Amino acid sequence: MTRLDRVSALHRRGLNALNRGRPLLAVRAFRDGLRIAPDDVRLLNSLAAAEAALGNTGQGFLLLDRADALATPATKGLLLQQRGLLLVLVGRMDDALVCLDRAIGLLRDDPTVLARTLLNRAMLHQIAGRVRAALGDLERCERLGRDLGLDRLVAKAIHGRGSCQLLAGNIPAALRDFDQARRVYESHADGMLPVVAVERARALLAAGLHSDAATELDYALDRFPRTRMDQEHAEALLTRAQVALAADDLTTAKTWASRAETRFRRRGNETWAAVAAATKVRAEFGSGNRLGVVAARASALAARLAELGLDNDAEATGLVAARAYLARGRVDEARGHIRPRSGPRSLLETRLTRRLALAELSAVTGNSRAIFTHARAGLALLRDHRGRAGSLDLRTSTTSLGRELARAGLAAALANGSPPVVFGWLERSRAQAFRFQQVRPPDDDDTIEAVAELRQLAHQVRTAELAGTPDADARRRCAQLERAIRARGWHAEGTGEHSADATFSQVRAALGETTMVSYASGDGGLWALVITSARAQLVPLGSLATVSESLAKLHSDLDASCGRQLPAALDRVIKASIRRRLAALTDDLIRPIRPLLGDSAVVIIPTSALSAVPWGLLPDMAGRPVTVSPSASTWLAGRGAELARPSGCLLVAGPDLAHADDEVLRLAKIYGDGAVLLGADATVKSTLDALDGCTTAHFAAHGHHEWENVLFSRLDLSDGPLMAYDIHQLRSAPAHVVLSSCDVGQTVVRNGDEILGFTAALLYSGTKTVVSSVASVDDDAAVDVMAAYHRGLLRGLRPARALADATLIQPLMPFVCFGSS
Amino acid sequence: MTAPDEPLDGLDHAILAGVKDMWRQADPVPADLLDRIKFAIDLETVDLEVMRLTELARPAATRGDEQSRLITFDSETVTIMVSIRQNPDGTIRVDGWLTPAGRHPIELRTAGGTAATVSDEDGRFVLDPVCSGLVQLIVRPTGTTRTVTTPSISL
Repeated sequence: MTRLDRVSALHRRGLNALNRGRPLLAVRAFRDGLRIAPDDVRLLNSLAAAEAALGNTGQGFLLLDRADALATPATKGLLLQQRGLLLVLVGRMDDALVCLDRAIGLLRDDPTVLARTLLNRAMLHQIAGRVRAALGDLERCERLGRDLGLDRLVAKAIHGRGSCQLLAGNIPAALRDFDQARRVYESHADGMLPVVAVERARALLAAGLHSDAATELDYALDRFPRTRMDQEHAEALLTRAQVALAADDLTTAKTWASRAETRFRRRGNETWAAVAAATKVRAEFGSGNRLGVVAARASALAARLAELGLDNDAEATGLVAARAYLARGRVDEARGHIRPRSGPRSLLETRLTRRLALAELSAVTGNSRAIFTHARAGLALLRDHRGRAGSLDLRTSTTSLGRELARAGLAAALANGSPPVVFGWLERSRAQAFRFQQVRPPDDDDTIEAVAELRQLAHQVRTAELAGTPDADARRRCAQLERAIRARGWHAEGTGEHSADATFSQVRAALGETTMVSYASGDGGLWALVITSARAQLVPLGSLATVSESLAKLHSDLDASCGRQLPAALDRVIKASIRRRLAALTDDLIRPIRPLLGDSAVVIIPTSALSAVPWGLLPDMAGRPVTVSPSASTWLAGRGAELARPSGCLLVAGPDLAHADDEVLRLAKIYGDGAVLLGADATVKSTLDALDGCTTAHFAAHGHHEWENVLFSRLDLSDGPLMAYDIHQLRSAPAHVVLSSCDVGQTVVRNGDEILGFTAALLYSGTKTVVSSVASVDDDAAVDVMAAYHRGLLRGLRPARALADATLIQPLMPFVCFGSS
Repeated sequence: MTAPDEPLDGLDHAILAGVKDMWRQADPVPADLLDRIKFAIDLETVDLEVMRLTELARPAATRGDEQSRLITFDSETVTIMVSIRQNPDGTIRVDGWLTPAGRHPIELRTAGGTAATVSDEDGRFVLDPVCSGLVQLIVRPTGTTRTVTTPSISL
């Protein structure tokens, strides 16, 4: 091997390591090369890049100075682009842009370096919020990369495009790009995997999925020390701080932000250090101590960020100052820190914070009309943003800003006390995911395969559990598949179209003889807005915490006693506890509104923990038709569907239950026709096929509500689980579904009373009425109740009336009629 | 190697270390053994009655899985049933029912300290939040001098 061959082999090896995200290995190779050829401009240039990647930017600049003195016209562009990149890394963005612009003009004959330079300039544009310019460079880079067959570079261009999508607020598109880049990195650049994980974390954070973001970051933070990517590592620390901040874990947020700030300082990156400091000041504001100091600090920092050219961060930090001044009652200083309008490149989060600050300012100055205006404008922004996501997982998750905006509006409405105003705010701030056109989850081959594998493994897990020999490996693999399927769902984009909220007068006109009770919570308190066609009244109730604790106890009581022969003395204790809890719930939720209820049918709109109330067990509700709906708008939209005389009936019995077959056969006799799936015939496929197009479906099966991964809440069928996920795939869901199973009437309630669960999945997919249980169901006792229920339907009763009559024959049946009836 | 009465040499020590490693792998000391012993000998009471434990299986007669563990403890005088479930934040909630029904002081011993509550007149009590680990319930039924304790259980 000649001297020249050795040098170029070492150079290649180093570049390869660098591109794979292994700068330490790269430095070693370049130094070895320079020992043989000390004046090689390209080696000096590459070493500068590797040193910078390790955080030694000063060393990088020295190397470039040395190379400049040796440069020829052929290497001038190369060195300029490298200098530009180093300038980016130390936060000197304007100088960097000048270098890169000049380099791009000189690099026409060197397409590989040109493509890389375009990638870097795109990053520069992106940091400054110039999304369109960034996308232009990335597109050119991707095209060059494809022509040159440079997979890694193409992947990085796609990765960069994802970052731009994120800036533009399109989270599904961002996640799709990050996942596409990740697939290439997995085989070609494992050092880039933690980098793209941080980007995914940012997207998930923006979507409000904090714990998923934290999982991504934990992976990245574990990997960075090995690859020694210092800037990215510091950014990951900062993002971790932002995740903790979003999750209200302020102490942790401060710790991570301090660590990030120290690391940026050490790198000489004052720009990023200022961003880290801004995150810390947000955490300090959140903890609410020494707000005068916090306000002054945020104010100074906002000025500093503006100097550094970070307009969005400057505005956001100014708003922290404004809110801190407001909390101290210093209105003038606060007003001075809220811009008349957001900057052209301000992110959604900043725009929402501005609206929140203005709402808070209006609260301090007692201008309730302005509170409503600003909170409403903020929520409208948020709704547009949500409409861009197709998956319910993203649609039902909101950042804490959404919660605070809704709280500001609702608090002002409750203080105002006028029923139409309160009604408007309740509808505006709850169960918004129902307003959007539903999007079916992606059904590409990979996903279909993953779902098939999951179903088969879940069946295996369940069989093993029933046999008393749990299969830990299969269970782990199930969890892995569930994560992958869920993450794939995030890619779906929404159409943005949404239906309007129901108005107060529309709802009143539709109520007829029915009374609507819409529960509201705020600052720990609880209210009931009671509406009839003739009048409406806002009634203050007790505390939400008391009701939640009563409910938690009641659920434990019901679960412990259900389906068991307990010693008589113990059974008496449990029954006494159930009576006591029901009495307490009645006192807190019903007694204050009893005079308004009379004996009319009731529509209940629950809030937070109230979604789990087994309403039919409350003595006031026994024998009374009760319908529970996510919002008045959802209730109104579902009305008018003809349910009373079901046609096209499907009856399904799941395995491992003594009485499920009895139940289904009795119902078949009652109806005299309809499809029946029993025993081995009740497979997932046959059920899904039969569901498409039938109007009423009845399931007698084991049910499981999955708190942790609610998309996979399920009913057991003969060959595996029918999951909430499958329900989302249905082309048309039956108008009426009865789930004669445990627990699947429960929901996970996210901020803004957004709900997820098996019953919720049916409602989202277009089912008008779901009868399901919010607690355990006794296998034997369910049979008579369900037979009575369906006989009632055939006699022409509405579902809520039929259920009220049917449950009178059995005590403690926690079935609830959801949706409209 | 050395004769039986000679002091151990380096090779002996190496062999013994090998034997130790082998047993450590083949039959390791349970990780929580020491904790269990310490935990058990911390409790000193004179008139102590230890209850019998029965973990109740999932009832076949319901249409779903238990989201909690249900355990009963029996003694001559007292029966306790507890339901153990995990809170979303990873801590544990213990719901309990006690006969004879009435207000009885109840303590929950954990490695980190003791939590105390009193059952209501129906014999119902709740301990929430509890950290996972070894715990033991101690009841001092009102109107007696006796102390009833459950075996230690792992949450």
